Amino acid sequence: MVEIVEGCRLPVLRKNQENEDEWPLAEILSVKEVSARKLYYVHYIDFNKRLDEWVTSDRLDMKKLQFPKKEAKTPTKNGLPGSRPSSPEREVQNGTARRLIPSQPGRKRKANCGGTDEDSQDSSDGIPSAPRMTGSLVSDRSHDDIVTRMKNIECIELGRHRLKPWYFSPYPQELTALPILYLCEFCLKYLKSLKCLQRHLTKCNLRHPPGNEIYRKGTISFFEIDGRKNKTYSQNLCLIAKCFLDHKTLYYDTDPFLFYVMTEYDPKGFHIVGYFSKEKESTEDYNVACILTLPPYQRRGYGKLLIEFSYELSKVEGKTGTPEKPLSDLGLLSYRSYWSQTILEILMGLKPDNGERPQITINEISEITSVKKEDVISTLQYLNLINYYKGQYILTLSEDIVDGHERAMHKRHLRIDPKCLHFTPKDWSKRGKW
Amino acid sequence: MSKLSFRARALDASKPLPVFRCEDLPDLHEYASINRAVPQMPTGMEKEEESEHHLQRAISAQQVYGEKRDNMVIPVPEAECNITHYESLYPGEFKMPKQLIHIQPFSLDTEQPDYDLDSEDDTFVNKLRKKMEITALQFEEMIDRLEKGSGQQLVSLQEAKLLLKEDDELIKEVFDYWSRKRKTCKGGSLIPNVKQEKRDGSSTSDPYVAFRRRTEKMQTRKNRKNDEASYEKMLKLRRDLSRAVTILEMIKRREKSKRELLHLTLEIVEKRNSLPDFGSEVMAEALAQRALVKPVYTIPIIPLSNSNQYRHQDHLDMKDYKKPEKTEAVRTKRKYEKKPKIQPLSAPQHSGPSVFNPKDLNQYDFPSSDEEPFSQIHSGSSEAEEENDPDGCYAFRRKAGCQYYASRPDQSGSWPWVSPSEGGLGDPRFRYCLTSLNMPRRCIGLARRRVGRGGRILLDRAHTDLDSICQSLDSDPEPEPLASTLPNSPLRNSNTSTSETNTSHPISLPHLPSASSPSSAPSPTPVDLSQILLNIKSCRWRHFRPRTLSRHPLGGGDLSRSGLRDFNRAASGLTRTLSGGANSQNRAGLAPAPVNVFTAEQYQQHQEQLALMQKQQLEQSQQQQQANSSAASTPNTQALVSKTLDQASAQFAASALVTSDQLLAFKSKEELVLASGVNGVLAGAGVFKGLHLSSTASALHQTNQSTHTTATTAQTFLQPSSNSATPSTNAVPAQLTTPNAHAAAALGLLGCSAANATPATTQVLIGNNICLSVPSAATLAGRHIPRTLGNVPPSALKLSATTNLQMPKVSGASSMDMGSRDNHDEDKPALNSIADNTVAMEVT
Repeated sequence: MVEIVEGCRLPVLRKNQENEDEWPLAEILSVKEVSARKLYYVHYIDFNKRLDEWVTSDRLDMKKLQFPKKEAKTPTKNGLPGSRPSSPEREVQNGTARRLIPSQPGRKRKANCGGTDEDSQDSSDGIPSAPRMTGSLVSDRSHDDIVTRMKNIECIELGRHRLKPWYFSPYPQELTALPILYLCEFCLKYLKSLKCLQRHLTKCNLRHPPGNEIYRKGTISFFEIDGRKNKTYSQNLCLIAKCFLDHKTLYYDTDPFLFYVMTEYDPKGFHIVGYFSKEKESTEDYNVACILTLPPYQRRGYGKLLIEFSYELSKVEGKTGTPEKPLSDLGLLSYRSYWSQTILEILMGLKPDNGERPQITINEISEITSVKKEDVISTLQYLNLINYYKGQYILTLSEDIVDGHERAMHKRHLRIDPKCLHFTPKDWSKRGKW
Repeated sequence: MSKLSFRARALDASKPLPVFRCEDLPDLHEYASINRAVPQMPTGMEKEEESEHHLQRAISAQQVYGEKRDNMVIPVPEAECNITHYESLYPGEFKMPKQLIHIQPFSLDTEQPDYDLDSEDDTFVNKLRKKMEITALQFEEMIDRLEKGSGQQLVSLQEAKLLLKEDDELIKEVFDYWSRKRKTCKGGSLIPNVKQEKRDGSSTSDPYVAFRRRTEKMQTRKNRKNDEASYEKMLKLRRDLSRAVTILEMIKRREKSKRELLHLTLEIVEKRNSLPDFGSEVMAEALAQRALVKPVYTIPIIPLSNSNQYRHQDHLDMKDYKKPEKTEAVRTKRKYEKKPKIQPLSAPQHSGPSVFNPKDLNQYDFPSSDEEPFSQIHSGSSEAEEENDPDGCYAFRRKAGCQYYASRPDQSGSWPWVSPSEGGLGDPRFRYCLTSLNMPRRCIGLARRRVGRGGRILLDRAHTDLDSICQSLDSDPEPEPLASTLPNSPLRNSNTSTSETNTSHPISLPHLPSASSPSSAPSPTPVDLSQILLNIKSCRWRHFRPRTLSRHPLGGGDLSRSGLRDFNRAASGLTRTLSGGANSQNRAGLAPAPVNVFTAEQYQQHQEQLALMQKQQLEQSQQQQQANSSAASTPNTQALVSKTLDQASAQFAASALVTSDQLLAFKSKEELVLASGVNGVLAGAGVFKGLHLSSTASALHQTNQSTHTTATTAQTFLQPSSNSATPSTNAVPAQLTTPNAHAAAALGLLGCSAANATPATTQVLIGNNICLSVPSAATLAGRHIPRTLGNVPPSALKLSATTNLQMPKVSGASSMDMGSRDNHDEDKPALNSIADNTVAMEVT
């Protein structure tokens, strides 16, 4: 039997959403041996990393095995569409895959020539470079080494929920081997065992995020947490968020950020549903840095609620804003959906005045919604509303669009009530430090 | 496809876009191809991810159906719900508060241990609980301390015993358990923590290191400025707070005393009750006894009689300012306790003007670090002191590298200005004498001058009941009537006589002192004033006022008069003090003065000496003339004149010798606190101006009697010699050479008044700044000095050189002044006014 090494590609069995078998092409990222059984960490080509998983050999289609090409060792950007750089060599110790990535020359070259958005502080060869200090997301792949490419936490227990992390998160390394990592539902402290969590809960008296509640309507509340004043909580929040945000960086401290945690109340307390972080001072009109709805609450409208809340804050500040890039796939869908609904709501609400055809400028839309102009344009384009007609641009609303919007709005129950927001923006530039 | 041929305009965000329904525009599809003109906006996603299968599927599904179908959503790893042990984990209920939750700062800081007991610990604790008392929380606290107490190295048992407050036995058990567990733990710490960055930067790419500090951004200029400002504010705050502490301390003390008093009163009442002393006889007796023993508490009187007092005040202020910086409660207390013992003892001892003890007023003051009873006053140069320092730029500042010693009490008696009866040197220079100031012009009564620290001239004033008279003594009109009412003035007569003798009878001036002395009694003054002047004459007081230079002569006017007036000032100043000459000679203690008393015999001696010198001078001048004959300018007459002038000046010098030191004293008094070096230069500059103008003016008015020569000859003659003289004055001041004397003479002549010239020379002496002032004066003067005059002073110089090194220049100057006046009356007005100007300049 041929040995399967990292970089090999082969079809791997997985169930799709309809619970049907499919054999998408996958790449072997790592191999480990647990109780005399080999396990393979596979990345499905063209699928998001979050679906990467450890599989047993029986799910591999060995007949179609492709060995890594020579040049594949040197990762390139223009490889197969959507393919990730193939894995570098690694060392296997005690059944745990350990990589010697940080100083891998091939990887570094990629980091240096591929990192397009990197700030000028990106140093020349030899010295490991520190990423830019603004923002919360990494747009380049300079830290996408094999360690961070693989999920390191098996499972997280948070309150009533057990979460399967999607991505790497730098929890203390000794905790990554645990089958379950326990988190305090309110302070988000990580604990190695249920016993420890029980002990912790005797000492932790939090029943809500440790910040000021700036919004409450019904059971939904928002808490504002200063990343500088409440470091422990902010870091714990970032650690759990990283499990579900691929591009989030935890390289630097949380000082320049505010965290808005959305909770849902039940008699046990205020349970975290999702959050978004926001730079205290953004040089690029970002009104959101990272945004996350925890998986148990996804696909229930909470994400849109978070986005809506972030724009409500921008409205209070009197600014337009945009989420920090890059967006994830889910982020793009959520934002597009929010923008579409928000803009269509305005367009359909326009009434003809004096028999004239209603008209509106892009800037007006932007001002009303606090959505940045570029996002308005991209949404109008995406919805295919902009048309050139008889020497001028017009916005056209098709029947499909109108129907689809009405259906979507009908399903959208959760809305932010601006009257329930108690928020005074601070001028952070006047303070010495964030 | 003609429609594609034109380009659509760019989409303008500020341009209104009409909103249509598609059904209203049936022909829209015809224009559809143009829509590509609008550039596609980026999605904001990573390129690689944008093409991911599930996303594309979801996007296309959205576009097709307007909404996502369930099976078209992006698949995510599953999450499990409904954990069964949840209810038991989070017991109890949390009632939603009515108000929005507002977290109080620091309310999250609990003292709970970070360590959480695990099941292994649980069994250990349960086992341990059979032997001794321990709770889970206690165990957690212990482990927490041990963990946080150890860095790379684990804490030892000894250290653990210090860290933990439990009994040794328990500590031992827990410590052993902890060390064992710690060894098997691979993570390093039992409290799992996110990896910290390492200082060496080796952790830059370690994926497990998170939340690194942002270093660069912290340092901005703005912040630094803020830091500075806030630092100052913090200092101020600290000072204010420590003042509050001091006040509270004092209040506490006061209240304690009150309580003590109360207790004592109570005790007295109780005692009397037990005695019993209802008739208060015992009490009265006790009070009477006590009255005898009772020490007299006197409030320290702040003396106002000497100027030192002000300095003390200043230092008090400083101390006051410094006080809060050294808050030491212990010290205050000790001091406070001492005080009542010392005070009653010391207060009566000072019989005279009570000696001011700064500490008395400053009993709550905290001694500075260099606490030494004497140095304390002058020590310290903190900025706080400088803020309060009234001395401004003259404030004493410590210099780097200098050592400052406290004044030593054993030496303090030997100051030259302390009288011999008090153990001082009793230097006559430092006697009190009547003094007046030029600016502002007034007589300040009895005062004495001495050189203070750093070359400052201090003026000690003595109080007499004649002070009020003294103040009126020297008001403006005094010298002016003298000048205007010249014909009546005896001085005028004497002057004419001098001028006569000057030209005709070389040795006809012996009566000058006596003749000029009446001049110092001007008629228009009241009786009191004449009384005072009488006192001055009879050398009961000494009073100098050689300069009264307020008014310029009106126009060219009476040249002789202005010249005379000029002389008048010098002469009156001199003669006034002349009678006190005996005293002054005594006081010139530094130099062994051969002429102690200006008696007739001594004057004869002087004459003899002068004659001798004159011979020498003649020889010298002849040589010089020979040397100068090539330079060609009126040598013959001048030689003659120079001789006669020489006589006159020499004679005058002889008289001036006596008084010059007094002059000096006076001048220096006038200078007060002006820095000597600066003053010297100023004087020199003034002289230079005078010299220059006068020499040019004099060139126009050459008379028979003129001693003037052209400036050029003066230069050729004198410049080299004066240059050579400069070093000699510096090195051996006692052996003043002729050329230097010339310079001095030039000062006298062209500076046109002794008053003007003296400052330069006196400054030399006062400030010990020969290098600075003398050379400048000498060289400047040397350029313009009339050659013939140059021959004059040596006699005077030599004479004076024998008596006092301070004198030669003064004497030379004064003598020349006289001579010049006599010879160049016509030339004077301009010169005089200049002199006035320069003097004024010098005084300010």
